[in-house]
Amino acid sequence: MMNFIKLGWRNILKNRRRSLITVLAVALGFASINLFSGYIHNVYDGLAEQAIRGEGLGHLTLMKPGLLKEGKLEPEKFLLKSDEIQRITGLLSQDETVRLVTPRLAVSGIVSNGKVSTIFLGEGMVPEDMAVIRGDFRADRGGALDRARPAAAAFASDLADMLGLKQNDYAVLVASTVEGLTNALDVDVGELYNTGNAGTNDKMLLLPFAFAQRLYDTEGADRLIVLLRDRAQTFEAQLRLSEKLRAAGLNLEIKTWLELSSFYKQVKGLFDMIFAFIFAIVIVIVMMSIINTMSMAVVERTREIGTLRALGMRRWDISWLFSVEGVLLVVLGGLVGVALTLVLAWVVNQAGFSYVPPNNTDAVLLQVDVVPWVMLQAFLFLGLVAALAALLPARRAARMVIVDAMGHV
Amino acid sequence: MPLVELRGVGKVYQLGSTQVEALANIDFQIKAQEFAAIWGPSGSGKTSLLNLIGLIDSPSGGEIYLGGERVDGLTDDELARRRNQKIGFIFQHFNLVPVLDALENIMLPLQIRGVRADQAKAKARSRLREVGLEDQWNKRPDKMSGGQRQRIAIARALVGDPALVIADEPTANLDSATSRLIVDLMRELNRRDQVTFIFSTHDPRLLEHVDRRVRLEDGRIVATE
Ligand SMILES: Nc1ncnc2c1ncn2[C@@H]1O[C@H](COP(=O)(O)OP(=O)(O)O)[C@@H](O)[C@H]1O
Ligand SMILES: [Mg+2]
Repeated sequence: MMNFIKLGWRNILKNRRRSLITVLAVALGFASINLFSGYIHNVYDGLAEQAIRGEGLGHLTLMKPGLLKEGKLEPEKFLLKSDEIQRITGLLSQDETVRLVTPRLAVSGIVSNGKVSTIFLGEGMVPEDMAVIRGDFRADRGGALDRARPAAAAFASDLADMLGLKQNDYAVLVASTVEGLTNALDVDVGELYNTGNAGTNDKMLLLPFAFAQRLYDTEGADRLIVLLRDRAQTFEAQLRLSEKLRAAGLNLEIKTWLELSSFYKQVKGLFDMIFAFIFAIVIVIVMMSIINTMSMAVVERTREIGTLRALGMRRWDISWLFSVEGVLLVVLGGLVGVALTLVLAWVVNQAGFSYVPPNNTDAVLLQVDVVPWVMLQAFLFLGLVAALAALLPARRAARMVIVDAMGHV
Repeated sequence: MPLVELRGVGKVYQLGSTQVEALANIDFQIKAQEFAAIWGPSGSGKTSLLNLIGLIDSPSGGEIYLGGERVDGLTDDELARRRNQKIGFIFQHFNLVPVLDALENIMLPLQIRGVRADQAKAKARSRLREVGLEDQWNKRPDKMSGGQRQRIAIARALVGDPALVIADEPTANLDSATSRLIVDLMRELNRRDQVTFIFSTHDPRLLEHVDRRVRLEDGRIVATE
């Protein structure tokens, strides 16, 4: 084995130019995989934070089963009553992964500036809990609720623009209550904010929770949001908390942020497909370079193969000899590829390119994460592909008839 | 018991649709420790015969015995092991591995056998000394003369203490003075280590000191002296 590596290594050095081209092809392919996966890793991370903190979905959402489908038809049936809210909150807060449990209430209707009106989608949320959920995520977008102003709503900026509203103006919200009666309340225009999503930036209103309850004329909430200490605990917590609630005789549905954020799912679906495509191309490139290089090596070293067989190497040993050489080339390519990835990622991250993603309202920074675990996986996979690719020429070498190989000049 | 015995061995090559009979009905023995020469004109079948004795080709008919064991019909891996353990090879074109230095080339048969590197190295060093090229140990083949390369090849053929060394026209690519030296070296090692040598040549001048001469013509043994 040691000798195979030595022989492979010496032959790689002997054909410097050819080896260099192969190593560079592998390195470039590997680096492009790493950079793209580093980029989408960054995007996924940003989208996840946007869903959890920006949209305020938290990590888990609790609701009565069927709310999303039939909630509009029979609203009172799906409302969580205040004693239920207290009981659930108490139960969940005991779990050590849970950081916060907070109620939500969606109210929609019409918002008017006195002259014109348009529809709004309102989300009632507890101001101080919202501050915890938002944390330090994109404070520049605004949209904080002030607990000192119980009648002030945060307006999505396009909605405010449509109605010509500015901060500290006031407007009227008209909505139907849980019982189907029409209710109207004056609302102050609090902070304006950017939802980050072109589809909602002309509709959203963030309302203080108590204000939303008054508008909807209820003591309850339609959802409870759970913020965990760590995003990585999401799925585990979903299972464990469901179990806990069932054990307590509470029939509730728990959805993760991932299930509720259709945008995240769409983007991930698209990027994953592009990634698979790039990966497939790189695999083809790596395979072709290795097959090509090793085939040339086998032809050039035909007489050497005959000699080694005469000296007692078995066919299998010959296969190994050339496979090892192919794998060595890929290992070299991988190392150069890692270096290339680090350099290019650093350059891209320093350059601070920004772009406006589809369906977004503002530009985001183009950043590339360096994810060692993903790089390692891709590397191992490419190594395996290279070994398989090298096996083709290696098998051809192994199958040679000794006297024919020796006669070859 | 002869070291090598061929009984009624034939070799037919398939060349496209025609068949070439390179060897016909060869009966032939070599005793241990012999220094034997197979000679004959080009195309007479010397290489074909040595390939069969060296177990790198299989006969079209007949039986081949090596050290009393019938070896035609063994599997590929079994033949590889016999070659590695019992036979040393010296080739017309030297056939050294270009990326290995002299010492590493000599070590090869032992390393294929699985001998530990330090032991193989010690053994190779002493063989290198015997062929008088100690100071060239770290040279690659392309930095050596033809005579030096063939001496390295001789050291490689002997490093595994084989019972039999096969040399197919070992001097065909060397000038006559060097050829002389190479044959003398082989003869000396044959005497000292009591290793059996079979070499082929088309040059009658190299036949002076051999124990036995086998004359081959058109794939048949026409004389044995
Ligand atoms: N691989 C082969 N295919 C077809 N014919 C061959 C092959 N090897 C040798 N021969 C033929 O067999 C005969 C004997 O060749 P060879 O054993 O090489 O003789 P020598 O070594 O004495 O020159 C020649 O006629 C040669 O052309
Ligand atoms: Mg010949």
